[in-house]
Amino acid sequence: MSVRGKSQTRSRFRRPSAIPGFPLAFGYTLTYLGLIVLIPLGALVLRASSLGMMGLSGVISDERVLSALRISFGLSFAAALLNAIFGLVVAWVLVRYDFPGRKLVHAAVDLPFALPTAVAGIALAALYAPNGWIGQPLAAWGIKAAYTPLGIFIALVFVGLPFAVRTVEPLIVEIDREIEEVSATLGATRAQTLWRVVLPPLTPAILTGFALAFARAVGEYGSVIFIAGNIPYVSEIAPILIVIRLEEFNYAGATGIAVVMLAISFATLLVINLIQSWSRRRFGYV
Amino acid sequence: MSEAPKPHRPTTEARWVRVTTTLVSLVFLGLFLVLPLIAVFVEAFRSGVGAYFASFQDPDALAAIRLTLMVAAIAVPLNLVFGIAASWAIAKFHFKGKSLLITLIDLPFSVSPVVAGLVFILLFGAQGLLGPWLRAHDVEIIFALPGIVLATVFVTFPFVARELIPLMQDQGTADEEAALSLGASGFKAFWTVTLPNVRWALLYGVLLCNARAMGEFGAVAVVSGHIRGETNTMPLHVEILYNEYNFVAAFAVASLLALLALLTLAAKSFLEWRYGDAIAARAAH
Amino acid sequence: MDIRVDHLSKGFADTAALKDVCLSVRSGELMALLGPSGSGKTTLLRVIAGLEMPDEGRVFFGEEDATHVPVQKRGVGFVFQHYALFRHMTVAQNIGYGLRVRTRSKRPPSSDIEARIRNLLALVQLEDLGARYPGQLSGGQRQRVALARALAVEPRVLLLDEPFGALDAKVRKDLRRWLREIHEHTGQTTIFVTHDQDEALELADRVTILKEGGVEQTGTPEEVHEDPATPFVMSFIGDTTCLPVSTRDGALWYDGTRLSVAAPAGDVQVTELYVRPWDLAFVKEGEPDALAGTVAAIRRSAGGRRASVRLSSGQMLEAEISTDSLLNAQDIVFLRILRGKVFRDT
Repeated sequence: MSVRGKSQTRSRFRRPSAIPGFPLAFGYTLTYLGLIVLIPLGALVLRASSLGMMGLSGVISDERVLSALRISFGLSFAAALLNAIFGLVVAWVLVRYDFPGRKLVHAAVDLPFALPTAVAGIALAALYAPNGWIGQPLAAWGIKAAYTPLGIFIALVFVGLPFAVRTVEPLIVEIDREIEEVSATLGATRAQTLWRVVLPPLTPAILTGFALAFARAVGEYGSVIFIAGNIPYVSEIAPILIVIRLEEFNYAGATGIAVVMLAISFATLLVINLIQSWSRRRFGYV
Repeated sequence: MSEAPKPHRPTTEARWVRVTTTLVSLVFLGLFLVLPLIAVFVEAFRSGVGAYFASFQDPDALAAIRLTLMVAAIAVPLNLVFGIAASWAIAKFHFKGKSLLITLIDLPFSVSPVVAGLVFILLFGAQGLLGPWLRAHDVEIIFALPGIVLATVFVTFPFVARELIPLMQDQGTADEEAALSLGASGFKAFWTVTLPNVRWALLYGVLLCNARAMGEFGAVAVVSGHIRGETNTMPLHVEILYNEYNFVAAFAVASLLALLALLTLAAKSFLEWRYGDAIAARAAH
Repeated sequence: MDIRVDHLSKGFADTAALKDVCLSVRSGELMALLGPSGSGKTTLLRVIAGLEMPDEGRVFFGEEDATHVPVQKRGVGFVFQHYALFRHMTVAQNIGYGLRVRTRSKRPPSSDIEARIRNLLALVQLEDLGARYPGQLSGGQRQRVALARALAVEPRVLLLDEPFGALDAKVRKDLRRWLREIHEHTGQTTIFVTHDQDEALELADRVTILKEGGVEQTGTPEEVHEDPATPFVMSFIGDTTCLPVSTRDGALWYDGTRLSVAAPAGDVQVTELYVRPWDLAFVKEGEPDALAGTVAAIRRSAGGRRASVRLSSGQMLEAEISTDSLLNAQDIVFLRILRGKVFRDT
């Protein structure tokens, strides 16, 4: 009975398979995941819980912290929104239209994935500084980009763009042309076809791209700090405030902000998963 | 001239719409992506070629380059091994909680790099959970190489795994079962069947992992302590030079990182173009 | 609505998809476009729909030259092989789509649209499934939704591309009969594309057979079956064996045997004789026009039994046998060719 009993209890967790190596691969995966990701993140949560509710709310209700969180989330939302819209247009153009240099442009979309954030940060700062290539003409119109929220917004658009493009692109590729053709045979104009037939199935991907771009923007540090100027209450984002608190050896302060940001990360992940499972149920694909 | 113009294909937009959206996209991408890249190189060569190369005579710059290479050389293989193990367990077997595991593996992508650095300070720093024990045993993690490696491993954690998992899931287990039925051992089946099936996706994941490992800034900035010549990676060195208003040197070092990014993109595009089918049945990003 | 296609040609990149195709479909007719893959039948259907533009030639809907009428205004109902249902819309929304996208002045009131959807759901026997999503339907049900959606706009012509291609054998048969009934009920001019000769012969009023972008023959099922115009039609419609023959003394000869099939009158050379499995008779040894052979295999098919006979020349010949035949593999048999079809060499 021992053999059968054992295999039965095991099969509840894992379906039996002829392929070997599960215990080793699964064990290693869990151990490594635990050591590198889960235990360190657990340490953060533990530290935060030792502050207690009072301590935590004390950290967060600080005016400067609130302002930094507002700036981070507000600008990230705006940047993700712009990326979602332009990401859709760019993805559509890249998939559907042919123009010289299309392949090059296609590769360039991934640049923010590949370019180190510090490099992007100083490049954007140089471009949008009052004497920079773009900063100068903007200044002539009375618009100041560097060392203002606008500068942060620009940096956040830069880092989030590939997420927005790359999540909708594969779905545009997979759109069944017959869907568009049948819509045309039924008398729909091209605009009606795009709005009523093409766009609705893309919505989950657009939302996912938005959420990914948002999550990335909220946590972004390297590309922002150079262009932001980091003026408290004006252009100071939450991640830089964590670094400042650490430099002041104010670990409680840093932990408090970090826990809020981590909670937002989890919430974003949850939202993405919900969108995808909703989409899978509704349309049968992600 | 009397003939009416042929209507355009019913599944595409009017010409003016195509032209406008294409131009808008190109201007948008040019402004946000291409211009910053050009700026890096223009600023780096602002004071001439001589000044550019002089930037690399600085021993601190050379130390930063060495450190960056070393960190990547440790972090990338670690995540490579993890990626293979995780994708083997997830793609070749059915077990409960699989989607939770995948979500957890993706977790580091949605954690701010600064928070990633912070968690290791809270764990290993002077006031951290293990801080007193580490000091008693004379082990340095924070403000030293191990801390930098740990932070880098954390932020580059999912890269290889998330390239491999969807591909190996699509490929199923038929090839491995065939190999096993022909008498191959599990390891042999992996080495002769599974690995060749995923080798381009593996390379693809390693490329992306490496680019991020060499370029990571936020997480490393928090744990490094910015000790010149010792715990400064290239991105940190760029920051220091920039903050010292040594723009030419800052952009010179930055141009090396930009070059790395361009090479990565070129290799990535080549892999997608040449081995597109072998990389992902479902697109990865 | 009469549909007429006049000297239509269309090429894709380097291949000619249609070559000087002429076709006319009478109002209320059910026409099948039959051919192997690559014969241009789907391209022809798409040109009629306005989904493809011809390089040359014209398409007429009645007296109207529709060649340059955009697909939106052509008034066709197109049913795709894989249905192309909108997955994010319910069945009822799918069916009502063509009415709802009309401009305000041409759009029927909402209550009329609802009534129309109900009628169509009843017509395709899906009364209770209006609120379902396409993902929740079986293949045959999706097919019927696609048809209802196409009929909703009251098209001038109904076009179906391989309407049963994606269904399994049993469902195919049912839907075939059902489509015929719908056609008799609505009297809708209908053109459908198929590669399945049974489907074309059973369903259509007339059949057009295409090969490599050109029309080989148009006719009733009876005509194309009994009097094929070309060797291609002969071998495409029904099973056929082609025997190399020669003409001598006003008779056809195969492998030294004078056949009882009459040679065509006049001084024409014939080199090929096309024989159907049911145009053969088993005879006794010694008949002068009998071909000797060995039974290679006996096969059971849906319609009856077949013997594959290897003639002494090595040529294989398919012959129909009765279900109670005692013939076995390896038996030596003698076959007489009762009928055959010859084509003048070109």
